[in-house]
Amino acid sequence: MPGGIVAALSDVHVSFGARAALKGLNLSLGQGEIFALLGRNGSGKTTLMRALTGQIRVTSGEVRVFAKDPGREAQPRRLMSLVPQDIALYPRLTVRENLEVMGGMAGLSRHEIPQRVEQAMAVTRVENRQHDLIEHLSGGYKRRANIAAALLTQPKLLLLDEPTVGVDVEARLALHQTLRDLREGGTSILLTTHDLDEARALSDRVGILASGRLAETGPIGEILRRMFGDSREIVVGLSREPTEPMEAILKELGLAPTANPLAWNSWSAEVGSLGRLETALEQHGIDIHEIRLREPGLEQVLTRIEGDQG
Amino acid sequence: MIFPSARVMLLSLLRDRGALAMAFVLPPLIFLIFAAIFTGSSGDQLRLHIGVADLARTPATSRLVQVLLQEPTLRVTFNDAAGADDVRSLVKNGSVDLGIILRGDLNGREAGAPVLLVTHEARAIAGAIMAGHLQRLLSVHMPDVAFAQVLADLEAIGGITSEQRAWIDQVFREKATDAQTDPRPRSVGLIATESALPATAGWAVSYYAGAVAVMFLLLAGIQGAISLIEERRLGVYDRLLAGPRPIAGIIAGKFLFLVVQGTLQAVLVFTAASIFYGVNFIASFGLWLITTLVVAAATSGLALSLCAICSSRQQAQVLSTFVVLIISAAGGSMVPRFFMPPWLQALGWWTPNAWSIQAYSSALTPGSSVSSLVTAWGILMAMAAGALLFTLCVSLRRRSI
Repeated sequence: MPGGIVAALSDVHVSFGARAALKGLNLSLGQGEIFALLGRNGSGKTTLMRALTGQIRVTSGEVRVFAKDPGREAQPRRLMSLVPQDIALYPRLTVRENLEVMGGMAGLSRHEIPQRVEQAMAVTRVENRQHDLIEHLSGGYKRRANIAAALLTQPKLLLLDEPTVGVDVEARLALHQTLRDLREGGTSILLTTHDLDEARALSDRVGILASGRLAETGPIGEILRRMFGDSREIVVGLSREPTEPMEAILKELGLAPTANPLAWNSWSAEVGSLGRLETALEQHGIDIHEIRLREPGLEQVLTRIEGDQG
Repeated sequence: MIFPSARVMLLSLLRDRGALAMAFVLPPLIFLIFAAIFTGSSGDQLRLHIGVADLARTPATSRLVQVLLQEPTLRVTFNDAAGADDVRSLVKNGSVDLGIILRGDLNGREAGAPVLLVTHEARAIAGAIMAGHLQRLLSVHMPDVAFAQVLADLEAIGGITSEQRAWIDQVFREKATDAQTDPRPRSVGLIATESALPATAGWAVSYYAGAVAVMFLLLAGIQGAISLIEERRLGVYDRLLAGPRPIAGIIAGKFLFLVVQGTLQAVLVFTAASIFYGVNFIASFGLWLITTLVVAAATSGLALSLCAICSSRQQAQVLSTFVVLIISAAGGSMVPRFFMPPWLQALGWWTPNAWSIQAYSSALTPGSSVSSLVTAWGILMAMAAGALLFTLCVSLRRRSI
């Protein structure tokens, strides 16, 4: 883990009434590290973020940010910023106006604000749109401005809740570059995402949240190897829904049904397995429209974790 | 944190033409309409529209018709050939406020009361007003008829002799002739009226200026306070709450902006009142300004507290419309409080509207002192402080939800 520990959660439990949102969660984040939290909706990602910002009190366990409890002390909150999932900016104000008022609301002095605004706009590359109203910006620029607002206080820890939702590939790559630049500057970043590719491209480590527990942590490559070895998913696309005899044949060939009745899959590490399976399907007269290999994605990871959890 | 929050509201308002019109054009406009309505119905410009049918066609009834036609405070529809049913139809279809049917000689009572007032339930007050008018017109312009009633009663109890009666009849015949040529009152009546306030100062209108101002301060305050909900929805609060600054600063900023906005609205309403109705609020500007500030504080606090408990813009609009209409009606912003039954007047003291109207009324009265306003100011400030505290508690509670 690069540098010292910036944030740490130890055996954290959070409950809302009878519903347990986090169940004994342990996590630490190092200085200058990008950590991606992956998980389904409702898995506890946002609750974890809120526990880190002190917005919710944990039921039991310990939360430390810069060695202090953010729920009780303001000092750790001065060193971190949150980028909410929504564009948390005023739509009828320009980018610059938004950054100026956000700076004021964050407690910056009138003398500090102009310089910080310029810096934040430069890092996020929004200077050329600084006089545009937020409501007139594209999704990518809105996201950049959303991040710029969080950078005004020059945080040491940046929390981003799904920062690239709804933006195109080009804007996403630009945002990734911005986050990498911030990491180079020593900022620690905790982000939530549904996108395994994004986590792979950006993060030093990932944590996979399932049912309020951190089921896996570590570099994404290691996790995938640990879970799937060298296996890849073979996906068979059928031309029509299989009859009962056809289903029996598909199962005999090692395929399993998926949520899509026209798609069946299996896992294999053998390079030649794809060709053999295609030949076998033809011999049994099963009409397919595609057969392909797929790298494991978040859905496969979560499905396997949930299967392991029973 | 206070000023950035207020700046956001200012910029958002300036870029929303609808909200600008709602805040600064509508209040004086609505005030002018209200003032026109109420000065017409409760001030000295009241002109009842009456329909008259003279069925008796006696000299006395003909004189009464002439008196009615010449009376400047009445608008009279009279057709010599009109019958009782014609007048009833005019009242029924709303062409006139009430009807007068002269069905017998004014000095005779054999067939019942000679003057029949035909009223409509929706305008029942017009009957009472017209009865008073008739008494006045008879005593001023037809004293012979008015006095004949007294004489008839005296005769019935044997109070005058036949010679005295003959002399009185002669005198009144002469007086009646004089009255037709010169209708001015000839004697000082039992009752005279005077206004406690100097004439032509627009005092009646000042009530509506205050009443309309407080209602629109509430409405515009809620439009502004809805930004609380918008900011929550946008995630701005999540961003701010993750930082070290307390949420009280945001609420204080919104409160400050709403108080300034409300003061400007009140300036516009009272300026319109000054230009069109002569309401001189500049003469007691100090008291007026303090009153305006406390009224704006109370309405802003209430608006913020209403929006704090709502989770969506739609919910806030429904709840605030409901609350503003109820408290404005009960508090006297729509109908003067003296028209209300006592229980409703008592209920009105629980609204900021009633205290605001009371405070404006006292502030604009010449010679009024601070002591006459202290109670109203104190209650309005207490309302503002209570509402702000409530808003803060709800917002802090939401932080932990």
